[in-house]
Amino acid sequence: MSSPNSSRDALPSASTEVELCDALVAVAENSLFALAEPMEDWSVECARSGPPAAGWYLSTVGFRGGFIGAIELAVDADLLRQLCMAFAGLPPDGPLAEEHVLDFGGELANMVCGTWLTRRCPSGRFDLDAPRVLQTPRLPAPPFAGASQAELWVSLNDVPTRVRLLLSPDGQA
Amino acid sequence: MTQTPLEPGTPGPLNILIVDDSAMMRAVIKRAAAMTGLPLGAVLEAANGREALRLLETTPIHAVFTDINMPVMNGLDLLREIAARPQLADVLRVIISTDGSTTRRAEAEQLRVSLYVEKPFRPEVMKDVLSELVARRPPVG
Repeated sequence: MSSPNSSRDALPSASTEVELCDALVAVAENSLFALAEPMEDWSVECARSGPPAAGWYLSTVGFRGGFIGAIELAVDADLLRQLCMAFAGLPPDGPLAEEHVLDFGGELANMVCGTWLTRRCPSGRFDLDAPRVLQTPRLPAPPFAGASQAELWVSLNDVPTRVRLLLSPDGQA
Repeated sequence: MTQTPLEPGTPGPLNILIVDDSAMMRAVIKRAAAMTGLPLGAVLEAANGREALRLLETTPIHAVFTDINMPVMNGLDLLREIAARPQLADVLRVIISTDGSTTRRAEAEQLRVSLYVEKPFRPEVMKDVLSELVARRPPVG
């Protein structure tokens, strides 16, 4: 039986998407008091709601341990700002510095990544990189070929949010 | 430093140090601590282990709340530095981290961590944590 830290156990599967969704749900409920649930058909929902006017925040956290990869969150920019206000206990109509939004976006990805890794490999040992956050008008194309990945869309406070797992090509530390 | 007058026999106010590279997370922990209503003294902040050590060496701090993954000096290295300093032997240690693996918890136990809190955490968890730390403080008077 393979070690729980091995890349073989991390290869994306249907259960990986469920695990990622569960991680985001846990973070949403415990830290954000937000509602998260899987979306059945993201394309339908996005088609109905249209691309976000304010664009997206893309937050990425790399991890290294028994296998190497990254968790990437794509969050509607307006939603991330709202969640940031709620997280920080700020009044919803008050000012919000961009640095706080970026900080929060990184911390959100950090929590989702850590929660997923802890549940996926309870006896594993992983180091997380500092999060990277950028704002983009539209989501970039899928990354380099050969990187195994899982991707799912989650409804976060009724707004489509993408969670993606990227693994290094050889999956080895 | 804020000193809250207390009745004799009650636990003394707790000076705490919050160590996390996320300013937002430090603010959340600080707010959650303030909302408990428990006797807190000074609440200091540091963005990494090295900043935390500087504060520990110059300011009386009773409890450290630290993340694990941080740049410059991570939380476990900070705890090793604390463990290596006899003058900091009585500082209470709490880890607040997204990493809840059994491996990390075992490392933390070796470093005399009192409590291990997994992120994300509900605000009421902070009350339980602080209550336990306050109970370990020597009484006033």
